[in-house]
Amino acid sequence: MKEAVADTSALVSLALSGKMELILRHVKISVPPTIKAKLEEMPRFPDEEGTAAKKALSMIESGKISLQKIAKSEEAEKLVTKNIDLGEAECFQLATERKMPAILMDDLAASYGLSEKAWKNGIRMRISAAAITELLAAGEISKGAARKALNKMIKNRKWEKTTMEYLIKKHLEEK
Amino acid sequence: MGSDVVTVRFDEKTRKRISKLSRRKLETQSEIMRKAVLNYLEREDEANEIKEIVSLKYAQGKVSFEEMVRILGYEEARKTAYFVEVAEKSLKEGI
Repeated sequence: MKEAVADTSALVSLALSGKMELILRHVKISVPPTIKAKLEEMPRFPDEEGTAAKKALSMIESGKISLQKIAKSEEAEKLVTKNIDLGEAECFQLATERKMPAILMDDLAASYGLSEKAWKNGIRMRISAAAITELLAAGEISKGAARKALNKMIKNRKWEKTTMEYLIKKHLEEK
Repeated sequence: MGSDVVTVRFDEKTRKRISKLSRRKLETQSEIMRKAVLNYLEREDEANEIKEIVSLKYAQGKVSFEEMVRILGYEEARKTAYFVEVAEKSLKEGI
């Protein structure tokens, strides 16, 4: 089973794809405490992202997403910059401590900020759409279903007319 | 459209600058701060729009990395190139 640490942005995207529960049967996702705390703040907003945050939280509370404490929180704090918040820093620290192979993160600025350290530690930075690719590779969904899930992510995340939409659609056309 | 009151903290030096500008322009301090925030938001929105247009053209192969550097600056160009690479790897290879 593939493993990854996910931050808030990735969890919200996965929930918005409509395939979160299926993904969690094939990918072991872990989160640090600050990510749970950030998700807890989001359902105050009655929009799709608030609903997605609630979904992700329910997956943590039921144990389908693993909540893991980090041993050296001071190391996470050292990573915080204007582009990397504490949640994202904790994701990196968790991946490092538990030797997780990948971090799912849709926040470009934070992902870029962590990229060099991630590379040095042998951690792959990925966007959440990688999880849909995993389902397709495992034969768990059809190409049509993958296309639908990714299009749903694009629409619900308001990625229309962005580079993200272009890359996802280009990939779908090539499949 | 209604408006809300927002509390913002400034250090002494910034408070004095706002006060000085308010006297010079004969505007209230609230108006000065409102304009400053709106100007900042507008500049950020424009900059983001440009970044997104250039990023898309780079992903489409219509703009080279060097051209992207000329338009966005080296750091932003690197960030965009990084994102395109990570997105492509994520979609192709999965986790």
